[in-house]
Amino acid sequence: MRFHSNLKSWVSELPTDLSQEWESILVEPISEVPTGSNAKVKESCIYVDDSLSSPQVVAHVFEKKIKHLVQRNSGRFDSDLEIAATVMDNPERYFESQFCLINKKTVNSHRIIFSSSDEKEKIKAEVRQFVQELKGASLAETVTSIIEELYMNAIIDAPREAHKKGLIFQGGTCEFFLADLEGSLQVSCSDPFGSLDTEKFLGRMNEVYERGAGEAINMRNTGGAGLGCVILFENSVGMILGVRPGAQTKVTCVIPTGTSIKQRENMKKSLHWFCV
Amino acid sequence: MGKYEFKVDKSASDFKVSISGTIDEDVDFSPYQLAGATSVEVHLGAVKSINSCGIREWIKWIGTAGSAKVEYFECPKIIVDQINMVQGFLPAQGRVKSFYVPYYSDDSGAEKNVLFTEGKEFTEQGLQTPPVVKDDEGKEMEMDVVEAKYFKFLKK
Repeated sequence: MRFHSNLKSWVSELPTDLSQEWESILVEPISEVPTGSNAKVKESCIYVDDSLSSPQVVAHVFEKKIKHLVQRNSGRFDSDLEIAATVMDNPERYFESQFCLINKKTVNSHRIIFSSSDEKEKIKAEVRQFVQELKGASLAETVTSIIEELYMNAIIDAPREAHKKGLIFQGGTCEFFLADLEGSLQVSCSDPFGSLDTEKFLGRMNEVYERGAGEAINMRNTGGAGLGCVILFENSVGMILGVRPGAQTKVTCVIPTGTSIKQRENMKKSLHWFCV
Repeated sequence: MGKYEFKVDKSASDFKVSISGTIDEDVDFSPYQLAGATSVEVHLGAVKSINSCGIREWIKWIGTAGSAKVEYFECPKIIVDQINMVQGFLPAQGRVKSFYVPYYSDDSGAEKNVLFTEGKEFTEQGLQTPPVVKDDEGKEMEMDVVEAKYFKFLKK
Protein backbone atom coordinates (compact mmCIF):
# COMPACT_ATOMS: atom_id res chain seq x y z
CA MET A 1 0.00 0.00 0.00
CA ARG A 2 1.17 3.50 -0.73
CA PHE A 3 0.25 5.77 2.12
CA HIS A 4 -0.24 9.51 1.71
CA SER A 5 2.44 11.54 3.45
CA ASN A 6 -0.12 13.00 5.87
CA LEU A 7 -0.74 9.51 7.27
CA LYS A 8 2.82 8.97 8.53
CA SER A 9 1.88 8.95 12.22
CA TRP A 10 -0.91 6.42 11.61
CA VAL A 11 1.40 4.20 9.54
CA SER A 12 4.05 4.23 12.24
CA GLU A 13 1.52 2.81 14.71
CA LEU A 14 0.59 -0.15 12.53
CA PRO A 15 1.86 -3.44 13.96
CA THR A 16 2.49 -4.87 10.50
CA ASP A 17 4.27 -3.26 7.56
CA LEU A 18 1.57 -2.97 4.94
CA SER A 19 3.67 -0.85 2.60
CA GLN A 20 5.25 -3.99 1.08
CA GLU A 21 1.94 -5.50 0.07
CA TRP A 22 -0.76 -4.43 -2.39
CA GLU A 23 1.51 -1.89 -3.99
CA SER A 24 -1.08 -0.62 -6.44
CA ILE A 25 -3.42 0.48 -3.66
CA LEU A 26 -3.29 4.06 -2.44
CA VAL A 27 -4.34 5.06 1.05
CA GLU A 28 -5.29 8.70 1.41
CA PRO A 29 -7.03 10.82 4.00
CA ILE A 30 -10.61 11.69 3.16
CA SER A 31 -9.59 15.33 2.98
CA GLU A 32 -7.84 14.41 -0.30
CA VAL A 33 -11.11 13.46 -2.00
CA PRO A 34 -11.34 15.74 -5.03
CA THR A 35 -14.15 18.28 -4.97
CA GLY A 36 -15.90 20.03 -7.81
CA SER A 37 -18.49 18.92 -10.32
CA ASN A 38 -16.04 17.04 -12.57
CA ALA A 39 -13.97 15.61 -9.73
CA LYS A 40 -13.55 11.84 -9.66
CA VAL A 41 -12.35 9.78 -6.74
CA LYS A 42 -9.35 7.56 -7.42
CA GLU A 43 -10.43 4.00 -8.21
CA SER A 44 -7.67 2.07 -6.44
CA CYS A 45 -7.79 4.19 -3.34
CA ILE A 46 -8.81 3.54 0.22
CA TYR A 47 -9.90 6.79 1.82
CA VAL A 48 -9.36 6.89 5.57
CA ASP A 49 -10.50 8.90 8.55
CA ASP A 50 -11.04 8.35 12.26
CA SER A 51 -13.82 10.63 13.32
CA LEU A 52 -16.79 10.18 11.00
CA SER A 53 -20.14 9.26 12.45
CA SER A 54 -22.22 6.57 10.70
CA PRO A 55 -24.36 9.16 8.84
CA GLN A 56 -21.20 11.00 7.73
CA VAL A 57 -19.65 7.79 6.39
CA VAL A 58 -22.72 7.09 4.32
CA ALA A 59 -22.98 10.69 3.12
CA HIS A 60 -19.33 10.70 1.99
CA VAL A 61 -19.65 7.33 0.19
CA PHE A 62 -22.99 8.18 -1.43
CA GLU A 63 -22.33 11.77 -2.45
CA LYS A 64 -18.69 11.47 -3.47
CA LYS A 65 -18.92 7.93 -4.87
CA ILE A 66 -16.08 6.75 -2.64
CA LYS A 67 -15.82 2.98 -3.01
CA HIS A 68 -13.64 2.17 -0.02
CA LEU A 69 -13.77 4.20 3.18
CA VAL A 70 -11.92 2.78 6.19
CA GLN A 71 -11.84 4.35 9.59
CA ARG A 72 -9.04 3.91 12.05
CA ASN A 73 -10.02 2.21 15.29
CA SER A 74 -7.36 1.51 17.86
CA GLY A 75 -6.08 -2.05 17.59
CA ARG A 76 -7.78 -2.95 14.31
CA PHE A 77 -6.74 -0.40 11.68
CA ASP A 78 -4.34 -2.85 10.06
CA SER A 79 -6.94 -5.63 9.82
CA ASP A 80 -9.58 -3.25 8.43
CA LEU A 81 -7.10 -1.99 5.82
CA GLU A 82 -6.25 -5.57 5.00
CA ILE A 83 -9.94 -6.38 4.52
CA ALA A 84 -10.29 -3.47 2.11
CA ALA A 85 -7.14 -4.41 0.20
CA THR A 86 -8.13 -8.07 -0.06
CA VAL A 87 -11.41 -7.07 -1.67
CA MET A 88 -9.84 -4.47 -3.96
CA ASP A 89 -6.96 -6.65 -5.07
CA ASN A 90 -9.14 -9.28 -6.65
CA PRO A 91 -12.82 -8.35 -6.50
CA GLU A 92 -13.89 -11.46 -8.44
CA ARG A 93 -12.62 -13.60 -5.58
CA TYR A 94 -14.89 -11.80 -3.11
CA PHE A 95 -17.83 -13.55 -4.75
CA GLU A 96 -16.42 -17.05 -4.25
CA SER A 97 -18.15 -19.31 -1.80
CA GLN A 98 -16.48 -19.31 1.62
CA PHE A 99 -14.19 -16.42 0.72
CA CYS A 100 -12.45 -15.13 3.88
CA LEU A 101 -11.70 -11.45 4.19
CA ILE A 102 -8.39 -12.05 5.92
CA ASN A 103 -6.45 -14.67 4.02
CA LYS A 104 -3.52 -15.42 6.24
CA LYS A 105 -5.32 -16.81 9.21
CA THR A 106 -6.78 -20.26 9.61
CA VAL A 107 -10.30 -19.60 10.58
CA ASN A 108 -13.18 -21.34 12.19
CA SER A 109 -16.01 -20.95 9.72
CA HIS A 110 -19.52 -22.09 8.93
CA ARG A 111 -21.47 -22.19 5.70
CA ILE A 112 -25.25 -22.42 5.35
CA ILE A 113 -27.00 -22.83 2.02
CA PHE A 114 -30.63 -21.83 1.82
CA SER A 115 -33.29 -21.21 -0.79
CA SER A 116 -36.70 -20.82 0.81
CA SER A 117 -38.49 -18.48 3.13
CA ASP A 118 -39.20 -21.03 5.85
CA GLU A 119 -35.62 -21.79 6.79
CA LYS A 120 -34.89 -18.64 8.77
CA GLU A 121 -35.44 -19.90 12.32
CA LYS A 122 -33.30 -22.97 11.66
CA ILE A 123 -30.55 -20.75 10.24
CA LYS A 124 -30.71 -18.42 13.23
CA ALA A 125 -30.33 -21.38 15.60
CA GLU A 126 -27.30 -22.65 13.66
CA VAL A 127 -25.71 -19.23 13.65
CA ARG A 128 -26.32 -18.76 17.38
CA GLN A 129 -24.57 -22.05 18.05
CA PHE A 130 -21.57 -20.98 15.96
CA VAL A 131 -21.39 -17.55 17.58
CA GLN A 132 -21.73 -18.90 21.12
CA GLU A 133 -18.22 -20.28 20.80
CA LEU A 134 -17.00 -16.71 20.35
CA LYS A 135 -17.85 -15.12 23.68
CA GLY A 136 -20.94 -13.12 24.33
CA ALA A 137 -24.72 -13.37 24.31
CA SER A 138 -24.76 -9.75 23.18
CA LEU A 139 -22.74 -10.76 20.11
CA ALA A 140 -25.32 -13.44 19.30
CA GLU A 141 -28.07 -10.83 19.51
CA THR A 142 -26.17 -8.51 17.16
CA VAL A 143 -25.55 -11.31 14.67
CA THR A 144 -29.22 -12.35 14.83
CA SER A 145 -30.28 -8.81 13.84
CA ILE A 146 -27.87 -8.98 10.90
CA ILE A 147 -29.04 -12.43 9.81
CA GLU A 148 -32.69 -11.25 9.91
CA GLU A 149 -32.04 -8.40 7.48
CA LEU A 150 -29.64 -10.25 5.18
CA TYR A 151 -32.04 -13.17 4.94
CA MET A 152 -34.95 -10.92 3.94
CA ASN A 153 -32.76 -9.17 1.38
CA ALA A 154 -31.70 -12.46 -0.20
CA ILE A 155 -34.99 -14.35 -0.12
CA ILE A 156 -37.59 -11.61 -0.57
CA ASP A 157 -36.06 -8.36 -1.84
CA ALA A 158 -33.51 -9.76 -4.31
CA PRO A 159 -35.93 -11.87 -6.42
CA ARG A 160 -38.53 -9.09 -6.34
CA GLU A 161 -36.02 -6.53 -7.61
CA ALA A 162 -34.73 -8.99 -10.21
CA HIS A 163 -38.28 -9.47 -11.46
CA LYS A 164 -38.83 -5.70 -11.63
CA LYS A 165 -35.64 -5.29 -13.66
CA GLY A 166 -36.55 -8.16 -15.98
CA LEU A 167 -33.45 -10.11 -15.02
CA ILE A 168 -33.47 -13.78 -15.96
CA PHE A 169 -32.76 -16.04 -13.01
CA GLN A 170 -29.69 -18.13 -13.80
CA GLY A 171 -30.31 -20.61 -11.02
CA GLY A 172 -28.44 -21.08 -7.77
CA THR A 173 -28.98 -20.86 -4.05
CA CYS A 174 -28.35 -18.34 -1.32
CA GLU A 175 -25.55 -18.77 1.13
CA PHE A 176 -24.51 -17.50 4.51
CA PHE A 177 -20.84 -17.71 5.36
CA LEU A 178 -19.54 -16.92 8.83
CA ALA A 179 -15.84 -16.76 9.66
CA ASP A 180 -14.03 -16.06 12.90
CA LEU A 181 -11.23 -13.72 11.83
CA GLU A 182 -9.77 -13.44 15.36
CA GLY A 183 -10.86 -10.01 16.39
CA SER A 184 -13.74 -9.88 13.93
CA LEU A 185 -16.63 -12.00 12.81
CA GLN A 186 -17.37 -12.00 9.08
CA VAL A 187 -21.03 -12.53 8.19
CA SER A 188 -21.53 -12.77 4.43
CA CYS A 189 -24.76 -13.39 2.57
CA SER A 190 -24.82 -14.16 -1.12
CA ASP A 191 -27.82 -14.46 -3.44
CA PRO A 192 -27.91 -15.59 -7.08
CA PHE A 193 -29.90 -12.63 -8.44
CA GLY A 194 -27.40 -9.78 -8.60
CA SER A 195 -30.23 -7.25 -8.46
CA LEU A 196 -28.91 -4.97 -5.73
CA ASP A 197 -28.74 -1.38 -6.93
CA THR A 198 -25.85 -0.07 -4.83
CA GLU A 199 -26.59 3.57 -5.58
CA LYS A 200 -30.21 3.11 -4.51
CA PHE A 201 -29.12 1.16 -1.40
CA LEU A 202 -26.64 3.84 -0.34
CA GLY A 203 -29.13 6.57 -1.19
CA ARG A 204 -31.69 4.89 1.00
CA MET A 205 -29.20 4.66 3.90
CA ASN A 206 -28.46 8.35 3.44
CA GLU A 207 -32.17 9.17 3.47
CA VAL A 208 -32.81 7.19 6.66
CA TYR A 209 -29.96 8.93 8.43
CA GLU A 210 -30.97 12.38 7.17
CA ARG A 211 -34.71 12.15 7.82
CA GLY A 212 -34.72 9.74 10.72
CA ALA A 213 -35.97 6.16 10.59
CA GLY A 214 -39.45 7.08 11.80
CA GLU A 215 -39.95 9.53 8.93
CA ALA A 216 -38.20 7.51 6.22
CA ILE A 217 -39.79 4.11 6.96
CA ASN A 218 -41.87 2.67 4.11
CA MET A 219 -45.25 2.11 5.72
CA ARG A 220 -46.87 0.68 2.57
CA ASN A 221 -47.75 -3.00 2.63
CA THR A 222 -45.61 -3.70 -0.45
CA GLY A 223 -41.85 -3.85 -0.41
CA GLY A 224 -39.54 -3.76 2.56
CA ALA A 225 -39.64 -1.17 5.31
CA GLY A 226 -36.43 0.36 3.96
CA LEU A 227 -34.61 0.29 7.29
CA GLY A 228 -32.67 -2.94 6.90
CA CYS A 229 -29.70 -1.22 5.25
CA VAL A 230 -29.18 1.00 8.29
CA ILE A 231 -29.85 -1.82 10.77
CA LEU A 232 -27.07 -3.80 9.09
CA PHE A 233 -24.66 -0.88 9.24
CA GLU A 234 -25.52 0.03 12.82
CA ASN A 235 -24.77 -3.54 13.92
CA SER A 236 -21.40 -3.74 12.14
CA VAL A 237 -18.02 -2.03 12.21
CA GLY A 238 -17.76 -2.49 8.46
CA MET A 239 -19.99 -3.38 5.54
CA ILE A 240 -19.15 -4.53 2.02
CA LEU A 241 -21.63 -4.47 -0.86
CA GLY A 242 -20.55 -6.43 -3.93
CA VAL A 243 -22.66 -7.00 -7.03
CA ARG A 244 -22.23 -8.97 -10.22
CA PRO A 245 -25.29 -7.56 -11.99
CA GLY A 246 -27.76 -10.24 -13.01
CA ALA A 247 -25.69 -12.96 -11.37
CA GLN A 248 -24.87 -12.42 -7.70
CA THR A 249 -25.06 -10.01 -4.80
CA LYS A 250 -22.91 -10.51 -1.75
CA VAL A 251 -23.26 -8.37 1.35
CA THR A 252 -20.75 -8.76 4.19
CA CYS A 253 -20.94 -7.35 7.67
CA VAL A 254 -17.84 -7.29 9.87
CA ILE A 255 -18.50 -7.38 13.61
CA PRO A 256 -15.79 -6.90 16.24
CA THR A 257 -15.44 -9.77 18.70
CA GLY A 258 -13.95 -9.91 22.18
CA THR A 259 -15.38 -6.50 22.97
CA SER A 260 -18.20 -5.08 25.03
CA ILE A 261 -21.33 -3.58 23.43
CA LYS A 262 -20.10 -0.12 24.40
CA GLN A 263 -16.70 -0.68 22.78
CA ARG A 264 -18.41 -1.94 19.58
CA GLU A 265 -20.79 1.00 19.46
CA ASN A 266 -17.98 3.51 19.94
CA MET A 267 -16.01 2.14 16.99
CA LYS A 268 -15.95 4.15 13.79
CA LYS A 269 -17.34 2.40 10.74
CA SER A 270 -16.03 1.48 7.31
CA LEU A 271 -18.01 1.03 4.11
CA HIS A 272 -17.18 -0.52 0.73
CA TRP A 273 -19.11 -1.09 -2.46
CA PHE A 274 -18.29 -2.28 -5.97
CA CYS A 275 -19.71 -3.91 -9.06
CA VAL A 276 -17.93 -6.45 -11.21
CA MET B 1 -45.09 -23.09 18.90
CA GLY B 2 -44.85 -20.59 16.00
CA LYS B 3 -42.29 -17.84 15.72
CA TYR B 4 -44.21 -15.58 18.04
CA GLU B 5 -46.92 -15.75 20.65
CA PHE B 6 -49.49 -13.16 21.63
CA LYS B 7 -51.56 -13.07 24.79
CA VAL B 8 -54.17 -10.38 25.31
CA ASP B 9 -56.07 -10.03 28.57
CA LYS B 10 -58.90 -7.54 28.48
CA SER B 11 -60.52 -6.11 31.55
CA ALA B 12 -63.17 -3.65 30.39
CA SER B 13 -61.11 -1.21 28.27
CA ASP B 14 -57.78 -2.05 29.90
CA PHE B 15 -55.72 -4.31 27.67
CA LYS B 16 -52.69 -6.26 28.86
CA VAL B 17 -50.62 -7.68 26.00
CA SER B 18 -47.72 -10.12 26.34
CA ILE B 19 -45.58 -10.82 23.29
CA SER B 20 -42.86 -13.41 22.92
CA GLY B 21 -40.64 -14.70 20.13
CA THR B 22 -39.70 -13.15 16.79
CA ILE B 23 -41.48 -10.15 15.32
CA ASP B 24 -40.76 -10.23 11.61
CA GLU B 25 -42.32 -10.11 8.13
CA ASP B 26 -44.63 -13.00 9.04
CA VAL B 27 -46.17 -11.38 12.10
CA ASP B 28 -49.91 -10.82 11.92
CA PHE B 29 -51.21 -8.33 14.43
CA SER B 30 -54.70 -8.12 12.88
CA PRO B 31 -56.42 -10.37 15.48
CA TYR B 32 -55.06 -8.15 18.26
CA GLN B 33 -56.29 -4.68 17.37
CA LEU B 34 -56.29 -2.19 20.21
CA ALA B 35 -59.28 -0.07 19.20
CA GLY B 36 -61.54 0.58 22.17
CA ALA B 37 -58.74 0.41 24.74
CA THR B 38 -58.26 3.27 27.18
CA SER B 39 -55.04 1.75 28.46
CA VAL B 40 -52.62 -0.74 26.92
CA GLU B 41 -49.85 -2.49 28.84
CA VAL B 42 -47.36 -4.26 26.59
CA HIS B 43 -45.01 -6.80 28.17
CA LEU B 44 -41.97 -7.42 26.01
CA GLY B 45 -39.57 -9.38 28.18
CA ALA B 46 -39.81 -12.49 26.02
CA VAL B 47 -39.29 -10.84 22.63
CA LYS B 48 -36.22 -12.46 21.06
CA SER B 49 -35.77 -10.50 17.85
CA ILE B 50 -37.41 -7.93 15.63
CA ASN B 51 -36.53 -7.02 12.05
CA SER B 52 -37.33 -4.03 9.86
CA CYS B 53 -40.61 -5.49 8.58
CA GLY B 54 -41.57 -6.34 12.14
CA ILE B 55 -40.90 -2.72 13.12
CA ARG B 56 -43.29 -1.54 10.39
CA GLU B 57 -46.03 -3.94 11.49
CA TRP B 58 -45.48 -2.91 15.09
CA ILE B 59 -45.94 0.78 14.32
CA LYS B 60 -49.18 0.06 12.44
CA TRP B 61 -50.44 -2.11 15.26
CA ILE B 62 -49.61 0.21 18.15
CA GLY B 63 -51.28 2.99 16.15
CA THR B 64 -54.61 1.21 16.57
CA ALA B 65 -54.45 2.17 20.25
CA GLY B 66 -55.34 5.71 19.18
CA SER B 67 -55.16 8.01 22.17
CA ALA B 68 -55.13 5.22 24.77
CA LYS B 69 -52.50 5.27 27.49
CA VAL B 70 -49.69 2.96 26.32
CA GLU B 71 -47.03 1.53 28.59
CA TYR B 72 -44.14 -0.80 27.68
CA PHE B 73 -42.73 -3.17 30.30
CA GLU B 74 -39.53 -5.28 30.50
CA CYS B 75 -38.18 -3.96 27.21
CA PRO B 76 -35.11 -5.95 26.12
CA LYS B 77 -32.23 -4.07 24.48
CA ILE B 78 -33.44 -4.87 20.96
CA ILE B 79 -36.71 -3.08 21.75
CA VAL B 80 -35.00 -0.14 23.47
CA ASP B 81 -32.85 0.22 20.35
CA GLN B 82 -35.99 0.51 18.19
CA ILE B 83 -37.62 2.98 20.59
CA ASN B 84 -34.54 5.16 20.25
CA MET B 85 -34.06 4.69 16.50
CA VAL B 86 -37.58 4.72 15.10
CA GLN B 87 -39.90 7.57 15.99
CA GLY B 88 -43.36 6.12 16.41
CA PHE B 89 -42.22 2.75 17.76
CA LEU B 90 -43.23 4.10 21.14
CA PRO B 91 -46.30 6.22 20.41
CA ALA B 92 -46.26 9.88 21.41
CA GLN B 93 -48.42 9.22 24.45
CA GLY B 94 -46.50 6.07 25.39
CA ARG B 95 -44.18 5.50 28.32
CA VAL B 96 -41.54 2.92 29.10
CA LYS B 97 -42.14 1.58 32.60
CA SER B 98 -39.27 -0.87 32.74
CA PHE B 99 -36.40 -1.92 30.48
CA TYR B 100 -33.23 -3.98 30.53
CA VAL B 101 -29.74 -2.52 30.65
CA PRO B 102 -26.75 -4.70 29.72
CA TYR B 103 -23.81 -4.83 32.11
CA TYR B 104 -20.33 -6.14 31.32
CA SER B 105 -17.27 -7.21 33.25
CA ASP B 106 -13.99 -6.35 31.55
CA ASP B 107 -12.16 -8.83 33.80
CA SER B 108 -14.28 -11.90 33.25
CA GLY B 109 -16.19 -11.00 30.06
CA ALA B 110 -19.39 -11.78 31.93
CA GLU B 111 -22.64 -10.18 30.73
CA LYS B 112 -25.82 -9.49 32.64
CA ASN B 113 -29.08 -7.76 31.81
CA VAL B 114 -30.47 -5.70 34.66
CA LEU B 115 -34.06 -4.52 34.81
CA PHE B 116 -34.47 -0.79 35.39
CA THR B 117 -37.93 0.13 36.71
CA GLU B 118 -39.62 3.51 36.78
CA GLY B 119 -39.59 4.92 40.26
CA LYS B 120 -36.40 3.05 41.15
CA GLU B 121 -33.57 3.29 38.64
CA PHE B 122 -35.25 6.07 36.66
CA THR B 123 -38.03 8.61 37.01
CA GLU B 124 -39.72 11.11 34.75
CA GLN B 125 -36.71 13.34 35.38
CA GLY B 126 -34.35 10.72 33.99
CA LEU B 127 -31.81 8.20 35.23
CA GLN B 128 -31.22 7.94 38.96
CA THR B 129 -28.06 6.53 40.56
CA PRO B 130 -27.52 3.25 38.70
CA PRO B 131 -27.38 0.06 40.77
CA VAL B 132 -24.12 -1.66 41.59
CA VAL B 133 -24.01 -4.94 39.70
CA LYS B 134 -21.50 -7.70 40.36
CA ASP B 135 -20.50 -10.73 38.34
CA ASP B 136 -20.47 -14.29 39.73
CA GLU B 137 -17.04 -13.65 41.23
CA GLY B 138 -18.22 -10.60 43.08
CA LYS B 139 -16.44 -8.13 40.80
CA GLU B 140 -18.22 -4.95 39.89
CA MET B 141 -19.62 -4.75 36.37
CA GLU B 142 -20.10 -1.65 34.23
CA MET B 143 -23.15 -0.48 32.31
CA ASP B 144 -22.45 -1.71 28.81
CA VAL B 145 -24.19 0.99 26.81
CA VAL B 146 -23.36 4.35 25.28
CA GLU B 147 -25.46 6.22 27.82
CA ALA B 148 -26.34 9.27 25.73
CA LYS B 149 -27.65 6.95 23.03
CA TYR B 150 -29.31 4.20 25.11
CA PHE B 151 -31.12 6.44 27.54
CA LYS B 152 -32.11 8.98 24.89
CA PHE B 153 -35.79 7.96 25.11
CA LEU B 154 -35.91 8.96 28.78
CA LYS B 155 -35.32 12.55 27.81
CA LYS B 156 -38.43 12.76 25.58
